[in-house]
Parts: sequence; C-alpha cells; structure tokens
Amino acid sequence: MNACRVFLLIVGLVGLLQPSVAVADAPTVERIKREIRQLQSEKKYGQVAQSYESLGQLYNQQYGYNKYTVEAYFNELKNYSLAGDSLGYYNVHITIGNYYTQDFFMQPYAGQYFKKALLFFSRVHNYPKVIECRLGIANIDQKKVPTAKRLITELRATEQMCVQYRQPYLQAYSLSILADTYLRLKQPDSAQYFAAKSLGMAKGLKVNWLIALNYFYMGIVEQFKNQHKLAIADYEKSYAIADAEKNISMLKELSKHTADSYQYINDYRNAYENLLKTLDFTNQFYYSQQTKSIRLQELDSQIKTLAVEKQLAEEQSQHQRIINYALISFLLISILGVVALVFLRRQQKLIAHQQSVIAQQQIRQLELKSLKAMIEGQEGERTRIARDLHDGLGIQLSRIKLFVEAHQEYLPRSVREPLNQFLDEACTETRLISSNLRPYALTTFGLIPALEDLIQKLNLVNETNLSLEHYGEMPTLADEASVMLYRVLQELLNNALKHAHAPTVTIQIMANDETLLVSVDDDGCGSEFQDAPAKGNGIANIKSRIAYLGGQVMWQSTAERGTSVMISLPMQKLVKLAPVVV
Amino acid sequence: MIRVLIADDHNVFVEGIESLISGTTGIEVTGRCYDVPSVVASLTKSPVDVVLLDISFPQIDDGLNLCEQIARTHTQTKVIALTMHDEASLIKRMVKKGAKGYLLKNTTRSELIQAIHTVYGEKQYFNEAITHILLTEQPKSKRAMAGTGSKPNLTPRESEVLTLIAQGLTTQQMANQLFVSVKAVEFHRSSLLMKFGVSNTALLIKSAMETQCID
Repeated sequence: MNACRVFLLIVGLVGLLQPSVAVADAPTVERIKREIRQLQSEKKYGQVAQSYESLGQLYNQQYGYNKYTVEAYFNELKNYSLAGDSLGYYNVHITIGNYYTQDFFMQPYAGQYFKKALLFFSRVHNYPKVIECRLGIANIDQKKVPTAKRLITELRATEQMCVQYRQPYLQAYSLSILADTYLRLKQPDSAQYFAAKSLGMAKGLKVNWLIALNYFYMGIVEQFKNQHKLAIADYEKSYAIADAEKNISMLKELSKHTADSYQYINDYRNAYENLLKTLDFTNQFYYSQQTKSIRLQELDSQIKTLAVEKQLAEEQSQHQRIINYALISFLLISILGVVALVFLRRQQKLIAHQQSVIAQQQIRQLELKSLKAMIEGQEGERTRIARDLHDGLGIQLSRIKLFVEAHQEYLPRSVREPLNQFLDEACTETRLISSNLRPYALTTFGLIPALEDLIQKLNLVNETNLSLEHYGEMPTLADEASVMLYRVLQELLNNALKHAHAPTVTIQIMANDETLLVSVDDDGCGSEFQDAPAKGNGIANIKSRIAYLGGQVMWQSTAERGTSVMISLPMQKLVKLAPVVV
Repeated sequence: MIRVLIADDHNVFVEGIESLISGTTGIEVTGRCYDVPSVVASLTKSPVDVVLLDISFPQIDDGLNLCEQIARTHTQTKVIALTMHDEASLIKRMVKKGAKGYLLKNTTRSELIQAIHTVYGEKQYFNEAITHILLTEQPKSKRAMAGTGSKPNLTPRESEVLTLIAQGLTTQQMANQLFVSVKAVEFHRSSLLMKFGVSNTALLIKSAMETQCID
C-alpha cells in the first residue's frame, strides 16, 4: 500500500497548461516557427516569447510530456529576459515548475522555479500568481515523506486566499491537493470530503485533468474503505479522461491501482491485464526517449540559462562599459576643456601683458625719440644762435671797438674811456652767452676740457670755489652724450651756486671700462631734494637726460652737510651713441 | 720794418685791424688772407715776421693746426692769436702749438702794437687776463692705478664709507648707520673702487692702508 502511495504521488499537472481539445497539426507548428523567425529578425522579443509559449503548448498537446515543449519554454524564458518583461519571465517560471512536477526526478528543479517566481510575485503583490506558486510548492512538498502537518494549515490558508481573490480554478486545485495530502496522512474521510468538493468545482469549471485526478482520489478513498468495485468504477472514469488527455503518468498510476483493486476482488485476469498496461505505461513514460531527453534537457537548460545569464551579464557589462567609456570620455573632455580654458586664459593674460609691455616700450621709445628730437633741436638752435652771436654780433662789436680805437684822437677822453669799457663788457658778455649756449671746447676737445673751461669761468664770477677731479681713463664720448652730460653738470652747478650757499662744490668724474660715475658734492645748507627731487624743470631735465643715457641719478641731501648728486652711467652707451646732427 | 700778415675769415675784421695798424711806424701789413690755403701759399711766397691769426678759421682746429704748421715750417714767423675765444682750454692749446701771443678781438691799438713788437723781439705777449687764465691751477686729474701710491682725494662721505667697509659692515648696515640709502652706499663703494683703481673690496682695503687713507 505504501509503495503504491509513492507512485500515487507522482501525478502530473499537465492540466494546468489548459490543453485545448484541438489537435495541433504540423503546418501550425511550422507557421509558428516562421512567425518566430520573422519576429526575431525584428527583435520583438516579447512577441517571440508569446509565440514560443503557443509552440510549447502545441508540442504538449501532440506529444504529452516531451522535450520540445521544455525547449520552447526555455526559449520563451530567454526572450522575456531579452525583452526585459519580468512578469512574463516569472510566469514562464511557474509554467516550467508545473511542467517539471510531472516527473519525480525533476521535482527539486520545479521547486526552485516556483520559489523564484514566488519571491518575485510576492514583491509585486500579484496574489493570484502567489497562490499559484504556493500551490505548486505545496504540491511538491506534500509528496515528500514524512508529510508535514503544517502543510494542511498552509493549504487551508491558500484556499482561503483563493476565495478572497476569486480564483475558483486555483481553489479547486488546492482542494484536490488537500485531498491528496489527507490520503497521505491516511484520513480517507477528510480526503473524500475535499476530493468531492474539488470534483464539484472542476466539473463546474470543466477542467478535465482535475476531474480525472479527483476521480482517482475518490477511487483511492474507496480502496481504503475496501469498496474495490466502486474504486474500479472511479478509476475507469478517471482513466477515460486521462486517456483522452494522453497523460501517461496518470494512466500508469490508474492502471496500477485498477490492477490492485482487481487483485483484492480476486479477479486476477483483469488484474494481470492492468498490470501489463501499467508496465507498458511505465516503460512508455520512463524509458521513452522523450522522458530521458527532458531530463537531459533540464541540465541542458541550466547550461542555457547560465549562458543566457552570462550573455545578459555580458550585455549589461558591455552596456556598463559603454556608459563608463562615455563617462570617462566626458570627464576627459571636461578636463581638457578646463585645461584649455585655463591655458587660453593664461595665454590671453600673457598676450595682454606682452602687449602692455610692448605698448610701454613703444611709449618709452616715443618718449626717448621726442626727448632726442627735443634735445637735438635745442642743441642745434643753441649752436646756431651761439655762432650768430659769435660771428655776427661779436665781429660787429669788435669792428666798432677797432673803429673807436682807430679814431680815438677824435673822441674826448670823457667819452672814449666809458665807450671802451662798454664795448669790452659787451664783447665779454657776448662771448659768455655764446660759450654758455655752445661751448666750442665740448665738440673740439671733449667733455673734460669743456668742464674745465666752465669751472674756470664760473670761478671768475662766483665766490664759491668749484673744483673738478677726474679719475681713470676717460674715453672719447659720443657728441650727444658729451652735450647731455655737460648740460646736466651745468644745471647741477647752477643749482648748487643758486641754492646751496656752499663754500666749495666738487665735481668728480670716475671712469672705467664699464661705468662712468659722476658726483657733484657741495658742503652747503642741504635741502629737501631727497623727498622731492622732481621739483623744478631743471631737475626734470636732468632726470630725463640721464634716463635717456641709460643711467641713474640719486640725490642725497643732509641738512648742514650739503647735497650730493650721484650719477652712474653705463659706459657702453655713452661711447656708442650716434653723434648729434647739427 | 716788421712785416705783418692778417689771417681771418671775416674781411671786415681784417680791414679793421689793418686800419688800426696802418700808419704805425715800423709795422707794415704785407698780406691779408681769408682762408687757410692762402695763408700757407702767401707765407711760402713772401715770408713775414708776424701773423695775426684767427683761431676759428672757420673751425677751431683750422686755427690750431695752422699755428702748429707755421711754428714748424716758418720758424722766423711769430704767431699771435687774435680771437673771440677766451677759454683756458683753447689758450693753453694755442700756446702749446707755438703761439707767442694771445689777444682777444676787443683789444686796443696800443696793446696790439705792443704785442707785435714783443713777439718780434723773441718774447711772448699775454695780457693780464690771459696770464691769469694760464696760471690758474689745472683741475686735478688723476689717473688711478693700483700700486702707484697716489692718494686720491676722498669726499667726507667716501671716507666714512671706506672706514665702515674696513670695519666689515654690510651695505645695509652702512646705510643704516650713515642715514643714506643702500644705493648711495653702493655708489660710494663703486667710486672708491674706481678712485683706487681696484676691482674688489679686499684690494680696496689693502690699497687704502698702503696710502694711509685708513689706519
């Protein structure tokens, strides 16, 4: 009895797939396959999956439990995952779970599929599907030995859910599982109650496989009660429906149980016949190529699933990689952009700076040019006036003087003496002015002799004692430089004589190959030169001329100690400068 | 009879001088020249005793060179510079080139005649003002050379800086102590180096000690 109970548990649930009465023919299979190819080329994965589902159902109708159906379902699974349709994907899980439940060896796998689907549907609160999954799992669980008592409670709860969510079909199914479980717990009365209830509902819903199953349970109940003839009647009802459905596992069980019953009523001939049928169905089921293939198919499918997952993962990683590349390139471009901006900005600043430097240089050049032009013009004019004075007025004065000399016997003494004096003074004055304007010695003999003349003349008319000292070898300076230095010193001496009230003024000129140092020191009263040396046009002139010669000038003034003016000039520039065009 | 040649590029002036001299006994104007080549030619043709020579003829150098040439080639001919210029540099150079007398163009008749007579008598003639210029002390000119032992004149400031350099102060310290700028101290240091004709501070101190500028 126990042994037969084990076989009894292996009951297919093919009916869950709602087999249609219509027998599919080959052209339909071909048509669906064409459709699939067409849809695949258009990459409509969702529709491909649906077509595979129809294909799987067709195969099932044609061959019962077979590997082509499983293959179709796995293709469906793959296409749903490609389409990203989670609902379809987990629905197929349930379908596969149900399909595998038919085969005892495949039930652990079936359980895995149900659990995955259950997890998903619980999360999305799809209760009808949750019920379906729970029933699937319960159906597998109740076949395990020993039967867990909690299963009854769970199944009752599931049945209540079916009522709550108005799922009569699932309710009928759960009732039938309950009946089966009670049978396993050897409570035929409860089993009979539930089987009858399920049978009633199944008949109402016209679910053939469930009707067959319930008749089968009813038969087993009768067998428990030793009503073997009634049992055989039930088995035959069930057999008729299962035969129509080509449910071989069901047929196998039915034949076996029928044989049992015949054995009890000592009808050995029928018992033998039915045992032969059982053997036949068993062989058909277990040793048919299809069954073997399905077992291999699962392993194959697992590999395929892994391949699909791998493919998905690869696609995802590739996708991720592309995104990463895009991000990295974006980042790089941004960095480059920023760098370029910074670089451009710096370049712009640099250019602006260079432009301002150039502009300043140009301004400086212009200043120097205008200074040079001014100085040249000034010097030229001075030279011209000096020559006019010297050669024109000077000569005329001399001529008058000579004339007076030549005719002095005609002039009274009172006129002659003052006249001579006035003429002498006029001549001296003319020479002085001329010499001031353009000391001839400067161009003829150089800076030092010209300065010597200047000092000698200034010493004649001033109380201050001027002295000139020079050290080192003085090279011949360019005319321009000599004139400028002469003017600077002239101005400095004038300032010292005018403002310093100094007993002595010393001019020092020190030369070596690189530098010319000039200093004018007085021991006068000193002044505020240090703070405001730019005051007065004379000092501005000095500064601009020294700057023109590339030198530097410093004023150092101390009260009661006098003033020092220190000028340093690069020798190179003084010698190289072009001579003044006069 | 003293033969006189007047050389000046202004003919009015030549005429004026001639009118001044003419009529003077013992002096005769035998030539009038208005440019350098004619002076040389005239002297070669008919030598004279005295040349009254303008220096700006028309350039300064013309007068100087001509004076030198006459002194060299016509040793009997005496040159008196007769010019508008009264600068020491020119007077000294003219005398160096061989001029025996130096007159300014606002000279008097008596002075002119006296000068001609003086130089003709193998003497030099310079009036009081010119003599004063000639005797004025030349500005001190020193050619600094290390080891010559010549002692340069130092300004008070330079002496102070030299002493502080010898004491080993830095430029900044010296500037602080003397209440002057760093640049000023640097200037004084440079001027000291140049005055002693040395290239660095160590040599400066050695040189200064040798010449007893510092102890």
